[in-house]
Amino acid sequence: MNKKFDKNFWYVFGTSVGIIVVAVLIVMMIVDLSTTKGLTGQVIKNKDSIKLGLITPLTGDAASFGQAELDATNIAIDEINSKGGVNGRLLQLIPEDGRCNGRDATSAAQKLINIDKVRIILGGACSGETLAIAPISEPSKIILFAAFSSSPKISDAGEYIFRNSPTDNDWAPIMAETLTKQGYKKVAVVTENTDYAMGVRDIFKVKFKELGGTIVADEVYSQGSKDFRTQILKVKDGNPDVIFVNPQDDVSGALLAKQLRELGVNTPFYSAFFLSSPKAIELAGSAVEGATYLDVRDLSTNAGKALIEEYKREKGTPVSEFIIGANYDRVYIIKGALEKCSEDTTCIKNYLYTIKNYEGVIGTYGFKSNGDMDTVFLSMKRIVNGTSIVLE
Amino acid sequence: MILAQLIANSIIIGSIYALVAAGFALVYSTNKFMHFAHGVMVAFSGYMLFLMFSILGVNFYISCFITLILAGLLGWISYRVVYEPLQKRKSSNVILLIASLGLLILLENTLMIFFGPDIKTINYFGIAKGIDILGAIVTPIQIAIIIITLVLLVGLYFFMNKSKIGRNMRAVADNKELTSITGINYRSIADLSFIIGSVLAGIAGILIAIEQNLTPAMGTGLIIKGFTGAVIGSIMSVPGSIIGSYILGFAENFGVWFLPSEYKDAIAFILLFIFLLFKPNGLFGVDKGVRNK
Repeated sequence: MNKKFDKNFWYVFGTSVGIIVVAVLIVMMIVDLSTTKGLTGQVIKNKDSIKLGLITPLTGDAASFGQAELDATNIAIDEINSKGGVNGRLLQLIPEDGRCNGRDATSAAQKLINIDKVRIILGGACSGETLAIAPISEPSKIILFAAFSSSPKISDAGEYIFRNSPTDNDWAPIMAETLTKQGYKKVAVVTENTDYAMGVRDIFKVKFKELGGTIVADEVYSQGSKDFRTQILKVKDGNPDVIFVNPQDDVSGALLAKQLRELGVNTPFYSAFFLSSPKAIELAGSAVEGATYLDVRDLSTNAGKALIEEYKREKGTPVSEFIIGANYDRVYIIKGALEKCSEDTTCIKNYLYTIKNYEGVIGTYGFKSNGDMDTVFLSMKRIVNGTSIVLE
Repeated sequence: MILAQLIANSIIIGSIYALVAAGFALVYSTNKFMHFAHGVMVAFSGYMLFLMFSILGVNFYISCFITLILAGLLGWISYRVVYEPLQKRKSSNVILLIASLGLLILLENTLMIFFGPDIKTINYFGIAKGIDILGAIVTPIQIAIIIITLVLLVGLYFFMNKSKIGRNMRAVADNKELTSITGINYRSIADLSFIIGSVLAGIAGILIAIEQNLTPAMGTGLIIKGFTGAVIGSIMSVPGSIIGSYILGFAENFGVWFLPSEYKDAIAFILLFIFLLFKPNGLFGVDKGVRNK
């Protein structure tokens, strides 16, 4: 009798706890969706709006860059919509999570193209995303416009593909030259296994050897790794006089820096801009102190400075000023194209190729015949006392 | 020096795998189904520590203690709410496996709703240059990881072999029907296996939160490694799965020393396949029943 009661009680108890948990979750999700823009972006139910897809990493190690892309794009779209949109039509952003890899970017692109019927995709952020989207978007004549992908392979990925970020061919050789100029002869390279970072590694290695240097260690780690200790051991064994830290994002780069210093490697290291993000400095602290890195130039135009001020007020310290600017410019370049061509993508494509000397917030630039940016803005920086200083 | 460092690296990562694998094998051997949501217990605990210590500002050690209680509670609730009703309906192990994957995804996404998708860090001990031990450089946190893991696992061994409850758990693992005849309450044993397993996962979560960082999806990667460790040793035996986890740690780190480092994860999966194909009971498994020594 007692046992029977006990059994029923626990069954009822268990079920009700389960129902309550599920109910609370649903309520929270609804509240979350209705109060924040979150992943759903702007909820505009205007039938006549122009849909823009955005594919960028919103989760995972590269999420801080994806969030910056989303925030900057939203700032530009809000501005345009508050002034009446494009030819009387509002812009509607549909953000999708590309997770910094080809697989998720592909399904995001399929969804945007086949279900949402977008004609313009902003993205991807990581080169692996952009390279995976290109074969899907190009045959359907969909404009793919990246603001943060730098793999050289994107240059010939298709006619409808554009970007306003420098390519690795622009900066990786400069890195090799800088190291040589500083007198470094033996370099260890530690690379994340992604399209972007592996591309940089190849370009860098060729150039550094050409300049007479030797690669004493060449280690690779997979995306999402958290333990680099054996790779670091191989770096140490090579006895380099400088280390080129070559991650895909700030999180793995910072963790790598931290473990390098923990294992007593005091060799100076050089990197791309990843190590200077607020997240990286929070994660690695003193380990990234003194790291030198090649960055895209901070925003020096008047409009750019105003944008960064606004961004800091609303969203906090940006992960990189350039990303904010490039994303902001991207929306305005597309706005210009939409005003001229509406959603006729062949017309948009031809229009984009004619752009030269566009006055954007990141500077004045245009597009080359392969869709790449025709001007490059780079500067060398160093982390001193937790903040970045410009070296030249 | 290199050898010492390689051994140290293997033991550090092996300890983390062992904590995950021990809990997983404990649940599997007593309940006979794959509790893949075990991985999310690790992530959950890391986030609870983050919530209490970093957001609410509770004392670090009190936060750890509460975290472990919450981890045990979540493990227990997941058994009572998800698995037990399915077991009552005589669901097959495949259904329970799918339910565990569903629970894994649900809980990971719940963490994401509350804490956001970006990386969280708990820098309680800061960054310290390691100490030189026999030529291997190890940080104090890593020494703590190794010691805590070993103490816990030895404690678990004695609990399973010397205490009455532990012996009952092994009896249930060996033959559930027969033990129910002798009056051992299967239900309380199952409860206990989930609670102990989840607390072990909770300890792993705390250690990872301090040593590395937190993402909502971190549990999936860890349960794959823990599962691999358990399969190598023997999924039916807690001590076996612990030894299997250390073997995995050694295989990964020594493998990468000789192979290009991009093969690090491949080593784990190749081992998993080899064992599933040729020795599914693992190194320390027996064909029938369980082995505890």
